[in-house]
Amino acid sequence: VGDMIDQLIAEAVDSMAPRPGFASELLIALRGRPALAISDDESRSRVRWIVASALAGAASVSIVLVALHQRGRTRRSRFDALMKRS
Amino acid sequence: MYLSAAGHDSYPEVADEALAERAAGDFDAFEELYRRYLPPIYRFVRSQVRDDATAEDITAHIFFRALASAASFRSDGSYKSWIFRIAHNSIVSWRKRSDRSKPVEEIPDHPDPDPSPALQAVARDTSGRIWGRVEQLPPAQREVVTLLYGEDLTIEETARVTRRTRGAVRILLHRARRRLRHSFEREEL
Repeated sequence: VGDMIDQLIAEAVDSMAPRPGFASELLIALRGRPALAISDDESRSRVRWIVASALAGAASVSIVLVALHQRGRTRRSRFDALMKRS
Repeated sequence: MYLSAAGHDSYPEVADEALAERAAGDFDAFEELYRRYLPPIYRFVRSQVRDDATAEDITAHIFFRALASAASFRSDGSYKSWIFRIAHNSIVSWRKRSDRSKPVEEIPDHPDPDPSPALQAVARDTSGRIWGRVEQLPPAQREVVTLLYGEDLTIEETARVTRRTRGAVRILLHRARRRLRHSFEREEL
């Protein structure tokens, strides 16, 4: 049974040929597009995305740190004032 | 090595790997590889998706990627595994994006009955009908079956293409064959 299944699958896959004309259309498209154009586009957009994410992350972290620092300073000055009064 | 699909005799006896090394800077070398591999790559993609248009889009994507990353091919591996690996990745990405993989009904795991009725069912079946059953296999099993039986890849090559161990490929193959056999037997009953 196994051998027959294998053979029939091979026949079924073999019958899946591309439509006539597809090979030439794709070849023309490939010929018209230099290899580096695709990788450049992809890598540029990836780099842009990474840089933008890193900048956004750094900005968020610094905002949080500044806010925490300000809060700490306010608390400390209130504490100092209370201590002086007492 | 696949034979040239058209009468393009610039590189009749040149090995795939030698062509691949030149493909980054020599479009003729790439074109020869394209002629050799378009039919098997298209067949593989078509066997994993539901329509011709999607198969054409993915096949085009694969060859654009193969051209774009031609310089990254290392001659210590086989070109066949390399390009089928690109095809595998492209299909996986397409599946993730389209989310078209539908869950397959689980077939109960019971011992094989007498194989003779199944043998008769298989013998009566046409390629189209058998493919209908292969299409119902889970994507990973369908992929392994197609690469091994449809494209004559070895277990080793299939493992490399799908980034699985040889053992995992054997298990997928065993499960796929068992499902198919059950499917024939159920029809027979």
